[in-house]
Amino acid sequence: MSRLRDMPIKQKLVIVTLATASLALLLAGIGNVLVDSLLFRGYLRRDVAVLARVIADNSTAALAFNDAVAAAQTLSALKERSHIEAACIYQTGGPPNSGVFAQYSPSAGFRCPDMRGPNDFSAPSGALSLVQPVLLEGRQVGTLVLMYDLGEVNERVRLYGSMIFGVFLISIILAFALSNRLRAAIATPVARLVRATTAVAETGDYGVRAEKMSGDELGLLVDRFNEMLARIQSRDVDLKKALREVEAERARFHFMAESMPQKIFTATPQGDVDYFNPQWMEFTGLSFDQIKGSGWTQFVHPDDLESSIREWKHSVETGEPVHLEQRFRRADGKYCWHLSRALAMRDAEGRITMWIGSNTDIDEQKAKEEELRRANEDLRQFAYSASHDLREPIRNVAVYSEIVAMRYDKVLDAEGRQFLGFLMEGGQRLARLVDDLLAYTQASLAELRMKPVNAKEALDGAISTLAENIRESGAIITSDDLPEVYMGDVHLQQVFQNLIGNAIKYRSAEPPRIHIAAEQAGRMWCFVVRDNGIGIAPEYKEKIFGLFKRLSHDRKYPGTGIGLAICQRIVERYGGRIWVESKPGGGSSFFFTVPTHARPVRSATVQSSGG
Amino acid sequence: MAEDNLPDALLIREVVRIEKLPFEVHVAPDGELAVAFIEKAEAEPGAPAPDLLLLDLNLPKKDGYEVLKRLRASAKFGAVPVVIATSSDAPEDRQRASEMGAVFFRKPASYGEFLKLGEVLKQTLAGRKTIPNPDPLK
Repeated sequence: MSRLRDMPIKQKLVIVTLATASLALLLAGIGNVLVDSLLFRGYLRRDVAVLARVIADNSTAALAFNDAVAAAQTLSALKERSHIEAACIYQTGGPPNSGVFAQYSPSAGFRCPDMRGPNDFSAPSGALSLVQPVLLEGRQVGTLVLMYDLGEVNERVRLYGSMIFGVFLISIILAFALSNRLRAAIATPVARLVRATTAVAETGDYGVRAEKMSGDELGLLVDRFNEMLARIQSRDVDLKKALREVEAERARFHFMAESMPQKIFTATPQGDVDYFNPQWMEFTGLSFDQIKGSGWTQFVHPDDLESSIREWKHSVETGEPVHLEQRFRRADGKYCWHLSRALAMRDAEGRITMWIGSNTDIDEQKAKEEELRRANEDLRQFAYSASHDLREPIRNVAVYSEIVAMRYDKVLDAEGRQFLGFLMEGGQRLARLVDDLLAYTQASLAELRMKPVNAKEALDGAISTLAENIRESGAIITSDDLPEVYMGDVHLQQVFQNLIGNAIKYRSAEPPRIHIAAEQAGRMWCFVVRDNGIGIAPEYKEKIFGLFKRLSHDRKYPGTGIGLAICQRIVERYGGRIWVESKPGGGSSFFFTVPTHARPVRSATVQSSGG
Repeated sequence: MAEDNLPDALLIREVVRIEKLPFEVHVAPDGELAVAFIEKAEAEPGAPAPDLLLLDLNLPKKDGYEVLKRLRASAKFGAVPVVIATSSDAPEDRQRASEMGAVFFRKPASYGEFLKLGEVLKQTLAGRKTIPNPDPLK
């Protein structure tokens, strides 16, 4: 069966055609012969029976008159019937065992066998016989026995057989010829199709087309095949283009990854690193094979390893970006701080396809941060000591020169009083300078204790502190409804105090009118302190926020030149800014922004718990 | 009074005198002597006992906080009112003072302002733990 399956279609066609034709012919022939032989056999039997009746009727007289010659004559008529082998007439009522009355046989030397009893005849073996009583007026006068064979039937079967065989042969030849024609109609297009597919398979050239030879199913098949090839060809072109693009993209990625100073890696969605750029191998002095997969753990600082693995696992499980600082061991054994980031790349369905990460050497930055932290700590220490140690002698000078001026005024001459005046003034001024400098340092260094602050309360605090100045100058201070902001309460009050103090100090001839308002600008509140003072020339709008920047050294405007620098430092530390809008003689408006309540609530909790 | 700076000690004495405060002023010029004064008061019934401690923070040998801690630990004088009079206006000092139940007075650089210490001492003695600070910023 499998041999048939693997045969070429043309052979299959021939075999199937021939087998079908042969089988049909064979079945038809056998059926024909069978039916014919059965029919013919029946016909012969009926013929013998009719003959027997006719001969029996014709033999009645001969038997009645005991005329054996006439009987023999009657029997001789049977020689036309080749299938009758012999005929015997036995006389009934004659002398006992009178035997055969008359007989016929085409073969000489035939002797009719004796009857064993009336109508009881046994034919020689192999022969068929028919016993027919001979009646005269209802009385049996004899018995006719016809012996016959069916050799004619066999003859006929042989004849038919030969005929069918002949037809069979001719049919096979015709069928063979026909199947060859069929082969041309079916197998040839199939073979061409096969050639075309082979060509495509071997050359990979999707431009090949199969030739259409007919409009039947095979033709349709060829058409569909060609359409399919055309589609594959266009897809092949697209695919090659896409492949080129991917290749170019890959090359670009590698070029970028290899040319940048940062360390780059990529990892599988499961978190196994499958690419390190050469900077990694150079840094660690290890080969890619040593550090791929999870081999990176060997160069992470032991103190950072647990958190590194935990963070990485967490990100791989959740898809959240990686962002951590960790130390990596350089080839020379030194551990360097790195900022590691990694992001998950996702496909259109949102599944992670890969991780891509970068590791930036921040060792120098870390060292600088540490240096800065130490410098800040030193400065904090300095400020604290200065607060205690520097103020004490200054205070002594200021207070005791005052006391001397009060109690010993009479013993001093004019020059002595003038010199003591210098001493007092210098001492007071030195004390203010140190206070302001320390306040500025505090504004820079103090921990930001963020909390909701009612700006109105901060303003009231500032006003009550400045009460004496306000009373002296006759200043009128008004404000709109002020919001709650988010910063240290002391700091907001300090900003108000410095700005209002300046507004009073730099007043014009009229009594100062100062108005405070606020409006929300996104995540910040923008405050304005507006006055009707002497104003500021445009060229000084920036300068006034610098340390020790005073626009006037006139005694009329005493001050250290630190107040606005403190304001700026405070506002900037809360992420805001401060600026001034003014024109000389037209008053000034100082604006500053500070965070609204909404934003830093969370960080505030952290901050305040820390502070 | 625990005060190492003589000019300040004299000024404070003057404040007590001017304000006619009913004090006998004992000055301990360093932390150790301040602690010794407390311990002596605890041990000897006849020794002078503190009614109020006026404390400088920046003291030699033992700083003001150590003295304050010792006082607060005392069974006898743990509840004595304390006024911290210091040059510092560092927020950490203000906070620490209030945590330890002390009134904070920043020594000002003018005679007139210094005299306000008298009012602070009076109010503290009258049982007010805290008084509104005249100027929290300066």
